[in-house]
Amino acid sequence: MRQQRSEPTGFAPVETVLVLIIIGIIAGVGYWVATQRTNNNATTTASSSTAPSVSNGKVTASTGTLTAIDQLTAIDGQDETKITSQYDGADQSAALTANNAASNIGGAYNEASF
Amino acid sequence: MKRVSKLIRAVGLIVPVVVMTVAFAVPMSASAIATTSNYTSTVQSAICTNLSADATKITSSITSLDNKLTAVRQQQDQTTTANRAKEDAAIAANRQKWDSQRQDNFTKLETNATTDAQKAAVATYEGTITSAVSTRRSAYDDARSAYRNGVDGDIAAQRSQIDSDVSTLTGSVNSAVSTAQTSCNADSSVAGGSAIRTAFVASLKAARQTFQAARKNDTNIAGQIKQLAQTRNSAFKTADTAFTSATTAARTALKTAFGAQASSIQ
Repeated sequence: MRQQRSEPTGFAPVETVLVLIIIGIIAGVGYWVATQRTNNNATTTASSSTAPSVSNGKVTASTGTLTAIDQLTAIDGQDETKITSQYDGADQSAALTANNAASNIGGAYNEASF
Repeated sequence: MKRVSKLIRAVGLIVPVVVMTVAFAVPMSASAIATTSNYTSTVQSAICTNLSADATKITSSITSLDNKLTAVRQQQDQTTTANRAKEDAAIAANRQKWDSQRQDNFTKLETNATTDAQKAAVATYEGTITSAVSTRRSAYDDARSAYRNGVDGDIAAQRSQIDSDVSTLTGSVNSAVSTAQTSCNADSSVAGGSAIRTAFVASLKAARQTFQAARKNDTNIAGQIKQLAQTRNSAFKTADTAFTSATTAARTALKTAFGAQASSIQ
């Protein structure tokens, strides 16, 4: 009897290697992107921790001088007022939202439909 | 056998009677129902027929919108509270940061003072700066507190006014319904219904327009808050001016104490 030749099944070794290489490349790119992001975040955190959080003002004079003290006390005040001002819009916006909700009651009915 | 034949005869009599009764009674009652229905639909005006349902619809709608307003107010209160807590925390952190940096500068400045007079002048200068910072912060706090109290007061006043307007609207609607109901009780005919509807619609329209006019005249809450912020910011500037004045004097005094060595601390 003539033995039938069976069709090859599954992946060939070359195909498997190619898939592994592609996965490796993707993983490498992903790792590189993640590393870059982490570095950027670290830089941002470092910057924000050394500079005023709001004004980005910087004390440029040498430490221990009167000019440096003048600068930092000025930035101290500026930062504080800016922090406060940041919330003004929220107060006004919330008040307007409530005002609109009140005005909507005026549209509770249309008398012409009765 | 006799009993059976009697029974059959009795059934024979009863069945036709029942059948005939049903045959007459069903059409007659149906006719009666139809007649009653027609009578109602021709003599009762639509406004009177639907008044109760319409009143419920209006009241439900007002109540629903009023409930939404309550929810918005609660959200507003929560947001305000949360924002103020964030603001206070940010300010506290800011102060701590600059206090630390200022102290570092003071420490470095002290190393430049070599004589007792210079050391005393530095101590005086540091005390003046620290006091000026504290005074300015107190002024900031007062201005901020005045702003917040003002905002709270304006919002409370506006809410009270809105609640009053809603109450007036509800009262007017109820009054219109009550008047219409009284009129319907007196005359619910189609002919009378027309006048009842006209009066009812006019009353509802007047109530709605009164409410809307009141709301239109009361849309300045954002402007009021803005004005409060401007007042607060003016207080900030006043405090800044006083601070600068105090620190400039302290700076001049320290430089004078250092004399020829003043350049070392500039």
